[in-house]
Amino acid sequence: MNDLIQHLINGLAAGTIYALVALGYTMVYGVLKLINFAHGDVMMVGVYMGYATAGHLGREHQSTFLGATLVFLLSMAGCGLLGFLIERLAYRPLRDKSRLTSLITAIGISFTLSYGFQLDIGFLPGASPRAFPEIIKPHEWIVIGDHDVIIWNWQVISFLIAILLMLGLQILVFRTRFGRAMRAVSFDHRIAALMGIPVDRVIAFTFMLGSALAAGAGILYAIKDTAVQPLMGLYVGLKAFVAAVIGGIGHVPGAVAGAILLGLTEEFVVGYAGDVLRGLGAVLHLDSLGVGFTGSSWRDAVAFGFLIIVLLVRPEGIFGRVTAEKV
Amino acid sequence: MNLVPGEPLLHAKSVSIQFGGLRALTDFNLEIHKGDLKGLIGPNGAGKTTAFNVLTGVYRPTSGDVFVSGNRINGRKPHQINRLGVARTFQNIRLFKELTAIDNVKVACLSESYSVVRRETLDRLERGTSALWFTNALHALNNYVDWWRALLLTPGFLREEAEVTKKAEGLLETMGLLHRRDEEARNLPYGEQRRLEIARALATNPKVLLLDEPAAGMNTREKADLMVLIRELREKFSLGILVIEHDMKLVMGICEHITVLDHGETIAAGGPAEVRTNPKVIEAYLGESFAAAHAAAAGSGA
Repeated sequence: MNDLIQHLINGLAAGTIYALVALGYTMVYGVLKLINFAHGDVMMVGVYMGYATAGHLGREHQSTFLGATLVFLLSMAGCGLLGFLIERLAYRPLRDKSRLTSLITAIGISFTLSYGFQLDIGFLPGASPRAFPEIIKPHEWIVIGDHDVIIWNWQVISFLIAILLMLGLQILVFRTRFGRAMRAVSFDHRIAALMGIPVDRVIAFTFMLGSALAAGAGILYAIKDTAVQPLMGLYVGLKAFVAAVIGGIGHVPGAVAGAILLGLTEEFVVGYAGDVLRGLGAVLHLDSLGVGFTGSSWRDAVAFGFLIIVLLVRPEGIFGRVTAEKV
Repeated sequence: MNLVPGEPLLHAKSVSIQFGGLRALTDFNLEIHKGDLKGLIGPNGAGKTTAFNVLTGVYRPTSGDVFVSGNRINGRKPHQINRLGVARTFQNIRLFKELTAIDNVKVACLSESYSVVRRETLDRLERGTSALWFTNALHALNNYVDWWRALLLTPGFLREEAEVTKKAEGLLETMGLLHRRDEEARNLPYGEQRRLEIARALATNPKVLLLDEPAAGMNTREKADLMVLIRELREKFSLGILVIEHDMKLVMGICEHITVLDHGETIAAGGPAEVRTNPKVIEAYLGESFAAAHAAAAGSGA
């Protein structure tokens, strides 16, 4: 029972972080119908910005409330700018070309960032992982029983930050003038333009917003993982993309639901798949085949297996609406 | 706005547009003044909708100029042209289908008051020479402050929301759609969708309204109502209106001036009576042989 509670808590904490990244995919898809594969790498750059800021603040200041806030705000602002530049320089010139062109450009930017950051020249950090500074000093917030269930302070804080950012986004999209413009652009950007909506500007702001959220999420992820490395954007980004597709890409609450579902599933796989497999292995004599029995090695397989099942059974995602194609 | 009296709200001066080898529009001229109700007709593929697309900035003219209230708009973005006062509807209805009727109208009310830097100031800056990044930054500031106002539900935010809602409701009422306020646009009957498009276009505070086949798919009764409505809109919002229409009866009934296009060329322009008897128009609509017979009949009759 305690195990279960612990896994639920860990799963929720991981899921909310995925959700923040997934929102970036879903928003950009919403306005541009583009899968921005560089999104995860923008997140990685954000983490390095946080790493640099924390480094400048020094060990003493980085873990104060003000210092941690500064780390978050600066990297979110920096990433917002990066998102703006990527859209302006890479995607906007291709807006009228076929969608495949933008998609390949997105993959190109993704690789430029993730492999560019592995260089060891100038400010670039090099390939080796580094310890992310403890901007939130970890301590056990709630302990149940004899360390059966532990809720860490950073889990609570990151959960709250993620929830606040998502609420803010929800209000922005559904209550403000900009949100109304954004939704209009996502429905039909040509018509939106003819109704006086500055489409280019709306798209640019959407990129900035998604990138800023990604930076926030990246730092939360780095706090959880305690490490930062140039390839983290690829795998975290890919997971978040899976979450967005599971929830129904282009759908804001769907992305959150998909991400939490994915976070919980991964956590349960890590926790229980080992036992299940060992049980199965004993019955089917799988040990002779060399099948691994540790749950964590099955985590990604299950995440992507989940994606395949969703795509087979309900390709529009859990919350996505079936769009009838007019013939 | 330094509006010279007598200067047209919308003015196309020998506009031509060419797609590759195809001349979609040749030497097109048009003036819309305040209070005008003009028609644009022609057989299918004559270039009517192309003309609308040039006037609203969807296409850029290959040669010739378009002016809105004296501002040359060649190469301006559609949203900028809309801000200058040109709004339109579409031949194939292009509503935001999954939004409610009122939200469709509210989306187009974006021009209402801005929180930090006023809309008019921004429009002027954008038209002027100041750097684009500067106006963009001011827009970003507006959006940011707006967001906080929405988060904190400040009295100013609530008041503005109420104003926008009131304006949108007023427009729905004018178009006889208030009872459909909260229905999704795609669930409205065809005729009401067309009227909702007009309401949405009016929400952008236009000076000139371009209607692309507003009566398409309507029955005779609905068409008659629409004719009355279009005239009312002209008075109520002091608009200049340009209508594309296939239904000759409708066009002849309400338009004081009609331009006839065929293969992108203006084959006739003038009052309804004048256009109706123009042999070129008859030929374009009914074919050459019919025109010849008609001319012969007219000749022997004289």
